[in-house]
Amino acid sequence: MDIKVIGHYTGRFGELWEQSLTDLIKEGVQGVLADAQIDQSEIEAIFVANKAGGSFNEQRHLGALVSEQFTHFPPAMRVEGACASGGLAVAAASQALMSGLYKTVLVLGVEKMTDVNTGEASAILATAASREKEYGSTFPSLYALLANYHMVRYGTTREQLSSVVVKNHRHALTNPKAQFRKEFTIEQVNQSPLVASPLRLLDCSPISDGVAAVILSSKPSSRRTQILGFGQGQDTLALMDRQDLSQLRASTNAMQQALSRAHIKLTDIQAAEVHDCFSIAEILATEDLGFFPKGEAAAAIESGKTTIGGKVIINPSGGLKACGHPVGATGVKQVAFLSKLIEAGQFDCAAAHNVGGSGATAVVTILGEKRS
Amino acid sequence: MKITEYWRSHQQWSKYLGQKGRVVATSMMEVAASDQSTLVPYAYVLVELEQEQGRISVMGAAGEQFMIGDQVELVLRKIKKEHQHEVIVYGLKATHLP
Repeated sequence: MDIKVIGHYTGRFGELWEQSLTDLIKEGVQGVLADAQIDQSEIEAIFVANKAGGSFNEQRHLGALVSEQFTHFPPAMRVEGACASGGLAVAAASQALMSGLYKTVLVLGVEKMTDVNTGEASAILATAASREKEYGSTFPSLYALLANYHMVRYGTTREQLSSVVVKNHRHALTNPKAQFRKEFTIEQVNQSPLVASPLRLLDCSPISDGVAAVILSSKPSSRRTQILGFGQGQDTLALMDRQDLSQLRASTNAMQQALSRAHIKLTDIQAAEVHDCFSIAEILATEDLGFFPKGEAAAAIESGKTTIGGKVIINPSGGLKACGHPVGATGVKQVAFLSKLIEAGQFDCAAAHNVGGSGATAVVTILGEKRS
Repeated sequence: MKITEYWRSHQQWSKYLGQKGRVVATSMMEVAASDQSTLVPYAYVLVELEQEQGRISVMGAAGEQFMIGDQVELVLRKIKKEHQHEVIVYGLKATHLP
């Protein structure tokens, strides 16, 4: 696999009242072209990751909206896989490059979520669950079922859930693009309002606006980061149809595919951006991706094994929890953020893990230093 | 819920109504989507069915709290907040066995 990340850009995540969906797209395009230092005419195709512009912003046809930012109107398509849209767009772009159809493509993830109220946002996000089989649920409640099951089966504690939150907010302190650069204590998380028991407000990733973009190329480049491998797993849309509630099987399958394509071992991965839409989601991901055995991730996180100086650094950006979760942008941000760290020499190899719904779709992208 | 969606969903009632099962996971929801915003707090439960091979996830009956292992029955209850100009929307919910 010979795909380089020749440009990356992440805008500030948060409640960006002053910016429209189109403003965010313009920012992403301009930012990533400036980082790549290439002429816009070199972009041969565009992959746009967005979950619900039609619902949040009454704007569909986002491929055209991004393409018109270019004077040569490159072919553009929108990729949607709920919160995994970004990871899927990177995978689709990689496949297009591997096919030889294009040499240089743009992947742009964007979501503008804060123009609707919380109830409307919850309803829009819930459309990624099974409408027929999970009516009346919300995503916090679906992940709460997984948390409840994990706590009973493995003895995972309230404090261990909170330790995920505390770690990720601490990581976000050094990320200038993060929505929340603020530390919390275990007690503050434990005492935040219940959303869907056992998950509390501070267990949940926020509603966010944001854009992220990467330019991928199969041409020779002096940039340091390349995509070593990627994988995509699928499972049933509804939790009720899953064989095992203690695992998101799609994540495991995606990681196994990505490792196989990258020709590396799991122990080569030094850091990972994992899909911590809720605190329990990071515990599940840390186990399902293979970093720790089933039932042991919560204790590992609590004891500092997934922060700086630990076995593997999980969510150095602050994750979805503290960096923010503009859903279509999240998977692209993970790749952009890790590319930046690899270029800075902080890591040689890292993985991005992006999940759609309650685990029906998962994408893993392994990034590493370019091998000559 | 659209009326056509409601009509289709009611066809499932005869399959599940009165079925008994065991709670395998549960959550008490304090925040809900706009269709259920006036119904909170309510439970959301995953139930292992006795007769059918499989599970179902449903809202819990109003005012009831659940724990893993609780024995429940599927009943018809209101599942959406009411508007004066709409039909009352019923659906399957779980309630404790007496």
